[in-house]
Amino acid sequence: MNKAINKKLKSKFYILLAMRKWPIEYIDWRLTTAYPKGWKFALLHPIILIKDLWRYLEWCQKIDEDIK
Amino acid sequence: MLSIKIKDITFNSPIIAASGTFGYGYEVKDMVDLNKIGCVITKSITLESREGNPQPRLHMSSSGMLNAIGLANVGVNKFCRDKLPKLDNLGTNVIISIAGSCIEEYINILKIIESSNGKHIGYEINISCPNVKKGGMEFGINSEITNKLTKALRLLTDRLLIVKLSPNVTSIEDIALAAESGGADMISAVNTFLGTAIDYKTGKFSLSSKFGGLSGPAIKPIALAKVNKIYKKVNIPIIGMGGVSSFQDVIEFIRLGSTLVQMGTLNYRDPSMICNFYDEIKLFIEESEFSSINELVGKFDE
Repeated sequence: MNKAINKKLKSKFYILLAMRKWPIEYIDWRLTTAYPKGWKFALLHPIILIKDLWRYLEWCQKIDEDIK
Repeated sequence: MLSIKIKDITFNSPIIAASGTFGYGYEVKDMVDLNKIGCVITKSITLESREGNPQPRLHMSSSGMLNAIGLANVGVNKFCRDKLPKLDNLGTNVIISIAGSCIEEYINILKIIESSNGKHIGYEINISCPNVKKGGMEFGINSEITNKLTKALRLLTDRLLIVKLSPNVTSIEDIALAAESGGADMISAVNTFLGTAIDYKTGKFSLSSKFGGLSGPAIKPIALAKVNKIYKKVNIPIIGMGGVSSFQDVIEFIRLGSTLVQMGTLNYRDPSMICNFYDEIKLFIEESEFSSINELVGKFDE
């Protein structure tokens, strides 16, 4: 059980790590896509941002499983 | 081997980045090898700038994604001034997606972009956005309006004119025929499927607009069927799309009648994935009895 949770957390960490290569312009566009005021909304609503980021990482894991 | 020629325009690869999944195009230039992508399609451009729908407007669902972004974009004037020059030397073909709420609006947008003399090769006419209150899908579900709009836009440009169709219709092939007879050079099929998501505990919708467009691997079998139906009816090339997530998916779309294939939702996972398909398709062709990707178009067992 713990092993499975650790594995999932580890994979989330690696997805997050890969995102560090995203250029600022691309991050700006992604935020503008997700929120009406883009990065301004993200700065003013950090909890929503973190929740959405977590959901996104979970979605990435599901999509990765689908692709496999 | 993988290059495709349509109306004197060469596409290096059959794989295209779908509108709304690759920014305006230039944002990803340092993340991907653009030589391995046949073309980039910009976000849909409207006459006025749009903030889009209120948040939440993305919902991650099983094997896909629901979006109700609502055509958020900078508007055509700012696009021509700030974004278009950055696209002129992108390193691959650029197609501009346009969306409007009435025929006059589409005409005005096209006129403004044409007057900017950009190096883009064509336009994808979005008549199928399910996330806006006015326009969008209203056009895509009506053959007569589709035909009228295509005819009007055909008069304004010699560049490629591609009509992007909605799958949310009874007979998509009739809409495709209407676009073809209106003068479209190509058909893009299909846009997202109308869908929704709700919290089973609270009864609250997951999207602010309640309904949105479903994309991703979940829609692939339906998209393949729609593409094949269109292929059997029209004589112009088709750009297939819907849930492409592997090189095998690209080949399936091509076999069922697509000349080019768009990749969308997977770009949200990782925009650099799109390049991997190029090498895999190349290897597949090398190991097959086909000498080029063109030979595969419409090669399915009757």
